[in-house]
Amino acid sequence: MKILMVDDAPDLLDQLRRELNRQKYDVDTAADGEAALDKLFDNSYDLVLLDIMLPKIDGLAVLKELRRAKIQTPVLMLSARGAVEEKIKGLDYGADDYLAKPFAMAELMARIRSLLRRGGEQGDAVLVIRGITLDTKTREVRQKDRRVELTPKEFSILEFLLYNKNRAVSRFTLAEHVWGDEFDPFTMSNFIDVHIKNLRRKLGDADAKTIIRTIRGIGFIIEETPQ
Amino acid sequence: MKIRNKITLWITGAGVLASLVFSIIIFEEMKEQPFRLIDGELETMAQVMVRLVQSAPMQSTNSAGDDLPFDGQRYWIKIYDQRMQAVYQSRLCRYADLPLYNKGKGYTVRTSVAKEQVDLDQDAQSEVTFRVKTLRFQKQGAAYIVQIGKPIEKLDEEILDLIQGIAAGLAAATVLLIGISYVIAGKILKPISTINRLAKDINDQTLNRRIPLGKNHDEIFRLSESLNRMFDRLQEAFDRRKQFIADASHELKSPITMLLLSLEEAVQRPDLPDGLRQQLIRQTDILRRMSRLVKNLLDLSALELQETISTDGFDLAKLVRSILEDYEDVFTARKIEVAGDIPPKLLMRGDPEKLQRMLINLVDNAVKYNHEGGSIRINASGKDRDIELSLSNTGSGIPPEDLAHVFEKFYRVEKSRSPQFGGAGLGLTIVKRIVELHGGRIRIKSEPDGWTQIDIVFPGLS
Repeated sequence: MKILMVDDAPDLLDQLRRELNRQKYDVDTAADGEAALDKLFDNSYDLVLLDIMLPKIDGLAVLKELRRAKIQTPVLMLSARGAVEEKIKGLDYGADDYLAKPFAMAELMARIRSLLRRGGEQGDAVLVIRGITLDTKTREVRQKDRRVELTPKEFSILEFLLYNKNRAVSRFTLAEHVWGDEFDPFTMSNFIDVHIKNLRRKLGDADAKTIIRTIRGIGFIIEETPQ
Repeated sequence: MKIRNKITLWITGAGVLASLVFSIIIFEEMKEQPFRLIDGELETMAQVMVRLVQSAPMQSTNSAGDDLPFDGQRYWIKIYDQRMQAVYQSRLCRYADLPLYNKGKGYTVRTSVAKEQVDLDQDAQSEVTFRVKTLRFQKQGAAYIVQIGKPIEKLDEEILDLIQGIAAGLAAATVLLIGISYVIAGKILKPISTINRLAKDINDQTLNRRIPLGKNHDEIFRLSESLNRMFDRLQEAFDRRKQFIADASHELKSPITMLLLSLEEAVQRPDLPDGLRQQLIRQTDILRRMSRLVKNLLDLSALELQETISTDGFDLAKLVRSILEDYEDVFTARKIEVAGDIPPKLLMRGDPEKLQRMLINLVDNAVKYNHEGGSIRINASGKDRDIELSLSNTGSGIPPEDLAHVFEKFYRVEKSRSPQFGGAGLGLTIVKRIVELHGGRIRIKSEPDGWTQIDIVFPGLS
């Protein structure tokens, strides 16, 4: 899996590169719009992380150029401008998703994995871990052969934890993801535990708490191998 | 007063004044006209008399006037000699005595005379007006004066007729002037109302539009030019501020993103001493609050810069219900009872994204400042063409001295600014700005340890 990251902040590129490498992605970077277009026309990528505010050619222009050249690589727009108008414009220009800065790494990873699954060859929309299968398309959850009925919020939390397997996710990040950033995550993060409790109960994990583990002071984690 | 009416008034006033001056001059001329005619006639008669006297021997006579070669009956004629003795008197002299003034021009005398003698239509029984003229002449070295008078009709009535005529003319002219000047004022002001319409159409979305300049380099042209220059400056300031917000967003949010990502990463490290981990977690929390504040502040700046909103139709009732649904866990966990009256469907025109933000901020406050086991009431309705929305919650209430300030930036009733209540005091400022953008009004009232109620009205958006 090869990802191109375009951003004019080298520190941020370094940081993201380290994390993505850890997740076994190949990462290439570009610091401005011109370099980004050069790389996009020369190489083939599975995903582009594209900031809107770029030197030389801005992100929206890069995206337009890309789509005009019939290059259909999935694009995740990143922007410091949170305005809804920007988001709509980006999606109109052919971006596949949009993420406002600042974002949590867990949120970025979930978006990247979701986009790679959607666009990738695997065509595999099913997340599997320790006997739990979650179909991101049909929104169906099964444990062994038993169907588990979840509320939309419970589904959203489980999906997010699965996208971030082996990584502890904070209540704050979960709240931001589940409710969206228009809601105050400080209010909402107090109510994540309610859903975690219900989720554990439905997964038969209420007492043991081994599937969804609590990491004190940080949040929750689902690991591939039981601890 | 409207300028159109003012111009109409000024033109009419000037026109009436000019007509009045003209009328007075005409009136003065006309008033003298009959006298000048009679004076001319009397002059001619006097000269006829002089010629008669010159060609005949002069003797003291009282004549009935029959001897004269003109209708002598109708004239009052006296001729005086050097000793001021009347040497000739016509018949009329018997009934009236006219004083002799030594004037070059004619003069008017009123005197009593039996009416039938004068044979005139004057209605006054005994008062007859005479116009008199005198003429000096010489005969055989002796000086004589001929005084000749003629009874005239009462000229007062004629003058009254004249005044009436002039007044009627003036009135007609005034009416005409008002009509014409109203039309003229409209013509003068038309370019101004065009400019007004064009200027009104220029808002934050159409700031690049300009007023088209006409072909004539007249005052309107210069006004349009000045306005366009003002719009240039406005657009420049507007663009600069917009750019500032974009730059500030980028410059503030990029380092926050980096810090947040590295803090998250650090916290996850297994080899971290527990104390340090707790410290980093607290720092992450502070950073998240700061990030939230930056977001709200920049959003508010963008909202303040904005003037227009989309006016798509959407279902407000549905939006309210979905937000209440999102808060369901919160309500349940805090045992807050929610009730209210929301119609199944409530269509309104506006920007649903912004109104969602407004509703979230309001509901969030209603939860935050509520006590456990409290209540929230939410009502929405469409009355006539207005949308009315009211949201109230129980809680400790807002002290009266704070109530007037709750919509101000960074204002917090909770003076300790304790992070327990989250926000930095921008929530209600954002709410108010969104209401204003929709042309609405917002009001808040609160009773201590009772209900705090926010009422919002969006006129004409139903």
